[in-house]
Amino acid sequence: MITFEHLTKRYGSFTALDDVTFTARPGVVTGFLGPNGAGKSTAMRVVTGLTPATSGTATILGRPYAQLSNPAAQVGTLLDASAQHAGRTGREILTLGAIAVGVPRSRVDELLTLVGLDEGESRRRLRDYSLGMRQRLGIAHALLGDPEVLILDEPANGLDPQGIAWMRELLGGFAREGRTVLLSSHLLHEVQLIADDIVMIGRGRILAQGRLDELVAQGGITVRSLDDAALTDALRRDGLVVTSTNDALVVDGTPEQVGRAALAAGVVLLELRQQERDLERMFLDLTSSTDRGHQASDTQAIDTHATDTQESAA
Amino acid sequence: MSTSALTHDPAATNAANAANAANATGPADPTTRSTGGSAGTGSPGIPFGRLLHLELRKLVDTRSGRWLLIITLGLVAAINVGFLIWGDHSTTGLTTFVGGSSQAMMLLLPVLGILAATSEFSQRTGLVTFTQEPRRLRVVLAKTLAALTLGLASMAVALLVGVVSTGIAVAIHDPVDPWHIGWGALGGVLAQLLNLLQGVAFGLLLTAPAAAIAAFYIVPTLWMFLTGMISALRDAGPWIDMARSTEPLVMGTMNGEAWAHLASAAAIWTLLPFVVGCVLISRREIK
Repeated sequence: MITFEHLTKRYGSFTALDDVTFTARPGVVTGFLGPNGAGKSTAMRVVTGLTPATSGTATILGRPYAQLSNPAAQVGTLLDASAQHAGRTGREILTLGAIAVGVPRSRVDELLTLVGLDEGESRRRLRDYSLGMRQRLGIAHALLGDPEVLILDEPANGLDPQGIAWMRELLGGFAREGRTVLLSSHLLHEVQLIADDIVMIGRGRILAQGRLDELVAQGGITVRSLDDAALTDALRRDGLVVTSTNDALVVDGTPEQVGRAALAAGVVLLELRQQERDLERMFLDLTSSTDRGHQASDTQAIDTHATDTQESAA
Repeated sequence: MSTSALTHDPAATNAANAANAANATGPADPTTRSTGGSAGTGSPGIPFGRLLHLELRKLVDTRSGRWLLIITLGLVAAINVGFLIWGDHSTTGLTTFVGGSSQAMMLLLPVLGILAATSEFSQRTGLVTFTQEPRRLRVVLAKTLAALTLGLASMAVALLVGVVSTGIAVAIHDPVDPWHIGWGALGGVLAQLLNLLQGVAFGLLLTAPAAAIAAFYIVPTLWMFLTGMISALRDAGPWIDMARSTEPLVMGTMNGEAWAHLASAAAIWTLLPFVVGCVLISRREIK
């Protein structure tokens, strides 16, 4: 479990993180999505104690990072796959990691096998590694201490589609064991492939967060009928919000609610479907509106966790 | 006061409340794995012995570190051979060999300290190192001790080489009093360690190896010229000039005032940059 609470980081007049609050839950892969410079890496450095926050708190497993005992064994981090001594071999880098975390050297071979670096590759120097190989080595390094939490900054960067599929398997299995994974990406399709939860960030502000499937389903219900006026009345009587477009109604509700309202009103339905919200468009909308420097209030923040709570409370 | 008179034990109640609170939040998610007692408890960071082991290994597992030691010891060997061949055969003994070796090490050992202190920043490994041990000053301490350990080991090797050279000199030249070694040799060890520490301190302060190496060799020399030229500074020389204050140390002629000179100069050239470097590192953002 990783928790950010009202985290703010300012550099002079520039606000890199603005009141960031979210939780990466155990048991799922949380994708931290945002364009370059949105604050993803800063947030990850703050939560691992490398960058001091201006205000707010970030905790892992309920504690500030600096208070964790043998932190690298509890929290596997990959903040930059190239931030290793270029002259060390992959094997040497993992050996240093094994000493630091306090695990036997046999872990090094186990992990090299796990991430698919062979004997010859492990004896090459880091400067001769491709970005994809560095990412694999970095993931091996993060996993050395069999940690409860993984924090990975752009881990899929430089991986081929096969490598991304491999990473999805690896991280999915890790999360299914009840562990926590937070990974960042500036590419939506990567996150869609790997993550269960999404936290979208732009210009240091959280723009949307929640389960991937719920974020996708937020487009509402599109319905066409032989008598839109009567259906609208029926829907509104049920307390649903209805907006009409050219030849259809858009309802903020479930297909079942709409179907029952139509049945009760005796209106013949011609079409009833869940509008799939295009995450790509949402991502572009959210990020471009912040990029253009609109007031943050222009952007409607979306939080499916919050609506979950409201529903369960009602 | 007898605790048995109390109707309830507040400590026990607190413990029970804490247990209830834990239960209330604990089983919310059945997929939550037990993180074991080690997750939250235990002292923060990692044991110091592990850090020292790591930092020692980091000094010798790269080409730059390894070559620095090879070149240093190679130079020591070359100097010994040089004295054997071209030295004054009647006086060349252990003191000559050890003294010559220490000249080479005076030049090269500080680079070891500079590399130890700067590598986390020049190679950006700080992202890894300071997540393994967030208490940065302990990492700095481990680096300093690792550099000093390796420095002492180099000096031990140089002494060994000097002993072998003296043995050879005795066999072929028969010099006068070949095994004599004075207090200056011990003072030389201290001078080497201070010099090495100054390298660490400059590395911590500047974090870029090239800048630190340049500053290490240029600034004290400029300072020496400056203090030599300006008469007001000339008298202060031994108090503020490391080269002049270590002279009696390696000559074996230390007295009370000389120790005061040494302490003052070392405070300026080693302690001050070390402390400022530590403050900067503990506050800096690691990127």
